Amino acid sequence: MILEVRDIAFSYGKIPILSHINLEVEKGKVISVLGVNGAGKSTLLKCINGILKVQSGKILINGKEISKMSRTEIAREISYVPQRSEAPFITVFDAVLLGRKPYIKWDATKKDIEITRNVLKMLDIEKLSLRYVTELSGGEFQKVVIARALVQQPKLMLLDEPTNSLDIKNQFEVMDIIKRISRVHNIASVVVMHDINLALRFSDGFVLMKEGKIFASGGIEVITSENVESVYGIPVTVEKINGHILVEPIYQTSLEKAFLSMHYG
Amino acid sequence: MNSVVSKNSASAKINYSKYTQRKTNFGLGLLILIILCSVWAVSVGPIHIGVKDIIKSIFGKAAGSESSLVIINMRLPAIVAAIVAGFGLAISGAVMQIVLRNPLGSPFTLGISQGAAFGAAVSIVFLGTGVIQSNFGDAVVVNNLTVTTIGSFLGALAGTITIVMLAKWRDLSPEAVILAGIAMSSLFNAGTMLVECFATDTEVASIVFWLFGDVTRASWGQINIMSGVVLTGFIYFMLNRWNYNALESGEETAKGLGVNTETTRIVGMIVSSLIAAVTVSFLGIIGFIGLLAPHITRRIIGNDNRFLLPVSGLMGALILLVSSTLSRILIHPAILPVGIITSFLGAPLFLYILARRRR
Repeated sequence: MILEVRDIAFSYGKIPILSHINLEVEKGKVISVLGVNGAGKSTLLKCINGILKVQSGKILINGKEISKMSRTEIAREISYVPQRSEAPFITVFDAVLLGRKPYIKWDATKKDIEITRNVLKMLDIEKLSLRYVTELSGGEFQKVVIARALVQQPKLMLLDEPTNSLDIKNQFEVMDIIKRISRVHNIASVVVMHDINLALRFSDGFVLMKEGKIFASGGIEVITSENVESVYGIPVTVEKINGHILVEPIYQTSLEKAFLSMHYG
Repeated sequence: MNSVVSKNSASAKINYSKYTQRKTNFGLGLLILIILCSVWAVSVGPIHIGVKDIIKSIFGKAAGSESSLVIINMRLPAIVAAIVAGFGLAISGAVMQIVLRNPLGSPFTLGISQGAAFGAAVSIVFLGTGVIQSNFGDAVVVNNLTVTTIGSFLGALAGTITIVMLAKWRDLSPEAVILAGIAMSSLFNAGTMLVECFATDTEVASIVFWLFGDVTRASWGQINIMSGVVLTGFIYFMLNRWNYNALESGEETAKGLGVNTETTRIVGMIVSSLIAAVTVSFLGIIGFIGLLAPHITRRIIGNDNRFLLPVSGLMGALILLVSSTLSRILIHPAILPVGIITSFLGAPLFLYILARRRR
C-alpha cells in the first residue's frame, strides 16, 4: 500500500468535517472520490498531504507518517493539484519547472531542466514551453498544472476536480493523462470528481463520501443505484451502454412535473 | 507571441536558454546604464567636473584638490546612496507585492514609510535625537543616529505588524489590505503632525527632513549601514526566490510544493520593512520606487522571481540615481527633494502602465 489512512478525524473548530475515515490505495491505481458538495472530499485531500492537520488517526505515505514529515519531505512523496491554481505571468516551462521546488537547493540543475522537458514532451505540451501561462486555454492550463505535479516525481498524486470547467474533449484528455501516467509510472492517484460517468470510465476504485464519512468504497461493484441514490439524494439508474457502465439520474425538472400534472390532472 | 516555436526538442532546448539569457542581458544592460549615469552624476552640478578629474579623484591621484573634495564628500555619497536605496526600496516593494499577493504593495502604499517617519518624529521630539546644522545648504544632521533609526524602525514595524496581522488573521482581501494601508498612512501622518505640535522650530525642521526624502544627506557611515542591510535582505530574498515563485501560483499550490507559506510571508514582510525602515531613517520618505521599479520590470521580463528580484533592484537603483541627479540640477542652485521627482516621474508612468495593461 502506498497510502494508508487510518481512522482519521478532522474538524474546523467545533464543526466536525471528517470522521472515521479509513482508506488504502495501491500503486498505479486511480481512485475517484465522489459525493455531494460539502461531503468533505476536498478536506480529505488536504488532510492526506498535511495542509490540514488531522485531530486523530494516522496517515501513512509509503509507510512513513505524514505528521512527522516536513513540508518538503511530503512534497517529494505527494503532489497536490488544488481546485484552483493561479496563473502568474511566467512561461509554461518555468511554471512546470517550479514542480522541482522540493528538490532544488540553490538553483535548478541540468537534471531538473531535463525532467521538466521530458514531462512536457510526455503530455504533448512541449510546443507551449515559451508561451505565457496567462495566455493558455483552460484545458492547456490544466495540463500545465498536472505536468508540474508530475515533475515532483511523486508516489501519490492528489487532484481536486481536475476536469472542472473543461469541455468534454479536454475532460477525456486530462483523465486519460492521469490514468496513463498512473499506470506507466506506477503512481497512485486520488481524484475528487463530480462527473460520475467520467469517474467510472477512468477509475480503478471508488470512494463514496457522505456527511464527512465514507459511505462505501471499493471497485465498480460499489456503484449501485442504491448507493448512488443515498449519497447524492436523487434516484438513478445504472446501466451498461456500449460496454460502459453509465449512471443516469431519474429526475423530473419542475417544468416536466408541471407538464405531467397538466396531462394527468 | 512566440508563435514560431519549433517542435523538435533540440531547438526547444536552445530557445529556453536563449530566453533566460535575454533576461540576464536586460539586467546587464541596466547595470551598464547605472555606471554611465553615475559618471554623468559625478560630473554635473554647480561645479562641472571632467571625466579625467573624476578618474584621478577616484583613484586618489588628485587628493586635496577642489574637484576631489566635491567628488569624495558630496557627489559620490549621494550617488552610492541613491543606488543602494533605489535597489533596496525596489526589492522591498517587489517582495511585499509577492507575499501580500497584491500589486499595490510597497513600503509607501502600505503606510510603512509613514510609520518610519512617525517613529523618527517621536524620537526627535521626545528623545531629543535630532538637531539642525547649517553647514551646507539646509543640511540636517541627526545627532543620535542609532536611537532615531531604532525609533524609525519601530514605527515601520508597527505598520508592518498591523498589516500582516490584518491580512493573516482577519483574512482580508488584497483590496482591503491596501485600504488598511491607507488608513495606517493617515494615522501615522496625523501622529507626526501631532508630534510637531510639541516640537521646537528646530525639531520641526528635523521632522520635515523625514517627510522629504533626499539622497544628498547620507554620510559614508550611514551608507555602509544601509548597504549592509540591503545586501543581507537581498541575499535572503534570493534564497527564497523559488518559494516566492511558488507563492505566486496560489497558497495551496505553494504548500503542495513544500513551502512553509506563513513563515515565508511573515519573514518576507519583516525583512522588506527593515530595508524600508533603514532607508527612510537615513534618507527620508522616497515614494513610488518600490511600486514603479518592480512593475516596469515585470512588464519587460515577466514574474519569474529568479530574474525579477535582481533586475527590479537594478531598475530601482537607476530610477533613483537619475531622479536624484535631476533633483540636483533642475533648479540649480537649489536642491529639490528627490521624493518630488520620483513622484512626478513615477505617478504618470505608473498610470500609463496601468492604462495599456492587457491582462
